[in-house]
Parts: sequence; C-alpha cells; structure tokens
Amino acid sequence: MRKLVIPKYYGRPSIGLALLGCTNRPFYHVCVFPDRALGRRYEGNILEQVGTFDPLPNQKNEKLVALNFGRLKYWIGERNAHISVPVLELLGLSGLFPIHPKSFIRAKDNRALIADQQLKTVAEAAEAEKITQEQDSSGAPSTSHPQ
Amino acid sequence: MNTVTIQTSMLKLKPKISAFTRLSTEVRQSSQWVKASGSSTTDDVNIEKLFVEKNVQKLLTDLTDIDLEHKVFRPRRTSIQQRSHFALMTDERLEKTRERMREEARRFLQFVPVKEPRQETVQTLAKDAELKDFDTSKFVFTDITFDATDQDRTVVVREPDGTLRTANPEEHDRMNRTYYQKPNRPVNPPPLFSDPYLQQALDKNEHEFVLDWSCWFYEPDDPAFVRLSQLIFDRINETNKFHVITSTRHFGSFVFYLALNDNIPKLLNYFGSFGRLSDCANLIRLQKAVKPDWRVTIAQGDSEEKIVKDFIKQNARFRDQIGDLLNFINNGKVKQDQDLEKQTFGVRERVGRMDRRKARITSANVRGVEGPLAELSEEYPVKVVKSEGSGERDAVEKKDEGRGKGRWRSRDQNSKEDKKKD
Amino acid sequence: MLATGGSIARRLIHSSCRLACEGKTKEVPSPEEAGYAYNHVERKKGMYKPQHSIAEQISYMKSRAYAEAYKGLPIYRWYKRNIKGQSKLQPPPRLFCIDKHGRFNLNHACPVCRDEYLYFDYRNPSLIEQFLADGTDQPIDILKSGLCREQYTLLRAQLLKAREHGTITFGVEFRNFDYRQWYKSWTEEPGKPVERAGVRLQDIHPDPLVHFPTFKNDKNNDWDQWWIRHDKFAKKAK
Repeated sequence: MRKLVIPKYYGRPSIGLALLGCTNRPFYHVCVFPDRALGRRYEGNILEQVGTFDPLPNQKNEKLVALNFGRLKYWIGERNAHISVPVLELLGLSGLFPIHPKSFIRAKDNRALIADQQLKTVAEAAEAEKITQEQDSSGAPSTSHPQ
Repeated sequence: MNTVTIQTSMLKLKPKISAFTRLSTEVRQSSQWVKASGSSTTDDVNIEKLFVEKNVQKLLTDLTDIDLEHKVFRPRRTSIQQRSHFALMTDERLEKTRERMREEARRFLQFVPVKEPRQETVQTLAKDAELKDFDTSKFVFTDITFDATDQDRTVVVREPDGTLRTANPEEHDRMNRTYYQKPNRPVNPPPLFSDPYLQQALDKNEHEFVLDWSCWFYEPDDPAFVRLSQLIFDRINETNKFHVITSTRHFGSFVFYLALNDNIPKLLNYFGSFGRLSDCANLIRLQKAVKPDWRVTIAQGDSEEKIVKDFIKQNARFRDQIGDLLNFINNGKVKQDQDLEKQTFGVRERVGRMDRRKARITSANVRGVEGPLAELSEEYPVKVVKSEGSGERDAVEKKDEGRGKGRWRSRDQNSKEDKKKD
Repeated sequence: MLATGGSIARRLIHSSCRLACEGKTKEVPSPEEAGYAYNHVERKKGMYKPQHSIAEQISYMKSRAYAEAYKGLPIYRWYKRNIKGQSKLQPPPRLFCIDKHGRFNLNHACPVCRDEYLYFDYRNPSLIEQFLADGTDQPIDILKSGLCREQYTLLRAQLLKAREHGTITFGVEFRNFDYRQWYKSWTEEPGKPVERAGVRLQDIHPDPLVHFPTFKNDKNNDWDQWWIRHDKFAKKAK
C-alpha cells in the first residue's frame, strides 16, 4: 500500500508498553506508536523504542526499568504524545511525573490485602491455641485420646 | 496533566541530584587509602591531589621498570588465534624496534587512577507514605539517554515503602553493566573477587590477572574496587611477592599505597636485595613527598647512598626487616642470583606449559622411555628402519661433548671463562 | 534437543551427587591402589559409566595409567570417529553418548564419555585446557574435538565457570583511562588508546616501501593513437 503520510511526523503519537517476551517470560518495551488512525497493531509500526521494563524481579528482588529520558521529553514535550496508564505509572514511580492515582489505589489495595492476611493468620493462630488448650484440658483427665 | 507540571517537576529533580554529587566529592573526612592502625595521622590528606602531583608521578614512573619480555608483552591467552610474526633485521634496526616497543610498553603501564571511593550513602529524593506496599519488590530506574556517560548516568530506586532515592554505587555500576555490556564484564562480580578463589589465584601468582580484571570490571572509584585492590596489595606485602607486580600498571598504585601507610621497609629490602640503590632512594623520596615531615627532609644535593643511609639511621625500628639492604650497603653483596633464577624459571615454565603437548621424538630417544612406547620400550625392542646411523652418531657425539653441539658448547665455555676472568 | 536438555539435567544431578559424595569420602586412594584403568568386568557389566569425584579425577590424570594411555597428548588426539572420508565432510556430531538411563548409546563413545574418570569440571582446568585452541581461551571446533554435543556444551559451561573462578586465566582487555575524567586538575591529553592484541610488529617497524620494477612490454605504446590512426597502421585487407 502506498503511504500517504509519514507515520513519524503525522498526528498524535502515543507511548505505551509493547509485550515482547516469550512463553512464561513477560518483557516489555516502552515504545512510541504512531497516530491511532495509522494503527499500532504490528511490531513494524513502532516508531521508536524509548525504554524497557522487566516485570519479573531479579535475584536481588528488583524490577528493572530503563528509560531514555531525553527522547521521552521530546515525544512528550514537543510532540504532545499520549501516554498510556502503565507508562504513566512507571514515569510516576521514577519521579519524572507526579505519581499516578492508580499507583495509590494499588498500594491501598495491597495494604488492605496484607492487613487481611495478617488478621487471618492471627485468627488462625488464636484458634490453634484454643484447640490445643482445649485438648490439654480435655486430655489431662483422660490420658487416652479418642482415636 | 499538562506540560507545565512536568517541566517543573523535572527541574526540581535535576539540581537536587547534581548538588548531591558535588557534595560527595568535597566533604570528606579521612582517606580510605590510609589505614588508621598503621600511623597516627589524623590530618586530612587529599590523596587524589597527591597522586597527580608532577614529582609523585615521576617517581612512580621511575620505580616501575619496564620488562618487555616477561611482563608487558608476555604471552597471554587471547580470544582469537594469532600468528607469530618474524622479521629479519639488522642490529641497528633491531635496536630501533626495541626502542619503539619500549615506547608502546610505556602506554601499557599507564597507572590505574587512585581515587577515593564514592560515598555509600544515598539521598532520599521523595517520600510517599501513601505509596507503601505498592509492590513487593524495588523498582530501579536507569536513564539510558544516549549522551549520558557511565559516571553521570542517573539511576534512582523506588523502595517498596514508597521512598524514592538515588542508587548506591553498587546498584549504579550494576545497572551500567546490565545495560551496557562489554566482554568479560558480567553483571555480577565473578567469584574470583571473593575469598576462597581469590586466595587460590594469588597462590598461583596470578596477581596481575586479578588486578587487571578488577580494574576492567569495576570503576576506579568503586568502594569494592578500592577494598579489593587494598586486600591484594596487603597480601603481596605480607608474602613478599613483589616480583609479581613489578613492571605492571598496578605497581604505581601499589607503591603509592605503601608509601601512604608508612609500610615501605619490605619493598625497600626487595630493591636492596637486587642492589638497586636508585630505586631505594626514589622510594624514600616518594615517601617523603607523600608524607612531608619537617624534621627529616632530603637536601637537594644528597647522593642516593646518603639518602638511604639517612633513612636507615632515622628508622632504626625497621632494622630487622631490611637485612638484605643492609647487607648490600655494608658489604656490597647482592642476593639476586637465586631469585633471578627462580623468576626466569617460573616464566619459562609458564610458556612451556602451552608447548608441552607437542611430543619431541628424535632418533636419540625413540628407543627410550621418552619415545612413543614409553614404559613398554623396556619389554619390546624398537626397530628404526630409516636413518639407522644418525642416532648412533648422535649418541657418540653426546658422549664426546657432554651436551649440545660443538659451537654452542664452545660459546658456553668461552662465556664461563670470561666470567672467571672477571 | 529435548533429549539433550534432559541428559544435561541428569548430568547436573549426577555432579551434585558427586559433590555430596565428596564430603563423606575425603581420602583419595593412590592411583595404583585404586586400580585405575583396569577393566573390572563386574563393574562394567551394566554398561554404566561409574561416578568419580573431582579429586579422583585429578589424581587419575596424574597417574601412570593416564600417562600410558594418552602419552601426554590431549585426549581427543587418540580418538577417531568411525567415518569414511574427509573429516570436513563427516556427519554432524552426536547429541549424546550416554542416554538418560545412564547407559552407553554408542559403541564408540566420545573421548570424554568413554573414559570413566573424565568429565569437565572447572576445578580441573588441565582437562579443559586440552580442548582450547592454541594460545586462546576459546574451545576448538566440535568436529575437531570429536565430542558429543552434550559434552561440548558442558565444556563451554565449565570453561566459563573456570574463567570466573580464576582457574583458567586469559588476557583481559586493556582499559585506557582518561585522567582528565578522573582528576579535575589533570590537563594533559591522554595518549592514543592501546589494546592488547593491537601491537603488531608491522606497525611498530613498517617495512620500507620498496618499488620493484616490473617488465612492461608496451611501456611507450599509446593504444589510443593506435585506434585513432588505425587506418595508417593496420594493413589494408584486400
């Protein structure tokens, strides 16, 4: 098909994550995609790669993110690129942007989950204690336990 | 979210980081290169300034002798196979070539910079208590902008509790190694740099290899590098293995380290055992330059012998450590003969290891244990069909002349006689 | 390839077994006492390759039995694959010699698989060094070494490990420092960057440019003139 426009200089580009891993090994590239009208479905359509994100933590429990801040500034500042939410979250965590609301929501959810689990474990421990106490109190007079 | 907020937040971040780096270079209490136990100097010494001083550099360069064959251009394992080159040249041309090789070797002896280690402390850039537990693991952000160098690259870490901080030197360099790969520079430091294997390598006299690799792997101002090189220097000094590090690029920093710590008598003794008085004098001069003391100074016109004698007089406590030097100064006796032999033997052995797989079977030893039949040659007779006579003749010659061909033998004898005359 | 992966995993398990065994049996019997290189039929009845610790391997490689078997040459020099014709045209290397049950898959196993004491390990660099190309730290071609793919993979893995543990040394790249970058007060330009393999005799002492005269028969012939004034030179055909 003949190209009527140059995708690099046409419309409003967007920055997003492109999943480029293999089975059971996710790996993301932070990429600049062309205008929505030109489609961002194919790998060949990617205009530029401006970073990587490795969602699996390494041996030292770190998730590695590499960002080409110089090019990001160009795409955001001069070309007014649209930024997808996951990238906004990453940029927020990196300190370039204000932190994205979604990160706060995620943090809140996680804290709630952890608190829940702690409650559960405390309750379980208490129950277990109770059971042992009951067993002790019931087992002391009669030495042979049923079963 | 508009662009104005972005610009302001970026502007906020940048000057903070740069101010921090400047601070880290200026505010410094005491040097990591000076061990507190060795001397009781509490005053501030700027070792970086001291190291690049003109006279200190000159003394270090003079102390590092250039051994082309056994050290600088000694055979090393390379990654590709190379042919050996041969050239037929006149004596004059050979001398010229040697001179140019020496020039080339001087470039290979460029010292590794002696730097204060970077500070381990990190700066907290932002604290968001709301962000606590947003993830179970840390996030490390690396700036891969094209024109950022390894030294000024920005690396920040977002902790799971929501604080944003700059990376410590270890993380910073690890990220450099991850995103900018070089051959023989893996991401994590190899086990060779930690102890059981380090000691094994040092026992095999591979000090130069370890130091070379560590300066390729680490940055010179990495705290781990400073620690590792000091460890190796200390072990060299303890075991008196100075010959492994002479005429390498690490000798400069080694001597500088010893001079800083007032620890030179063993090295002085080493130079003395070879009768190298000028090196001894240079070493003493270096120590006086590094640790100026108004009570004991060297006058401009002092001869080398006087410098050394003065030093011995002033430091009577080292007397038992510098036996060879005293022996040389008082009696003019040099201990070097045995040591030299040992050294050259070691080198020859190292080269020989590569060649040994080529079996050398000549007509003389084909019948013996060294021949293809080895031990079986005692059971089975070896019959050589071709050139039966040559072996016999060889044997006869050997009986006659002891060893080697006549011309070589006579030359050997001549040299021996010359020595006797001397 | 799946089979190779499986067999490598099996080998790893075996080596970990070896490690575990070493702790228990510290003493290594002398080679003659241990009966190295004697064909104890009852041991080999099951066609299995016995497991030995690395200390045993090292003492075997120093023993007389080893010296007599290999005569000081690298072990692959005593091995010839059973092929007809040029070595260049041989079929691809075998994937493995010992299958997942630990039995020999072939009659003529590769030089490492066939010797019961030998396996690659970074703690015994002398075996790995036999398979390095002369003067380099790279392994030789797999077809030249005659190894099976499994052993060749293990060779490369153990070679890397040996380098990282310092048992095999190599020429590290020379790092050129620009002192201006490290010291603020330094103003001198750094010299030309050098590299370890970059020193050539040819560069240090270039051959003088000698002009060798060549014989040129038509030196003064201007062939343009020949064609321009062709009719004058050429004989007219009748």
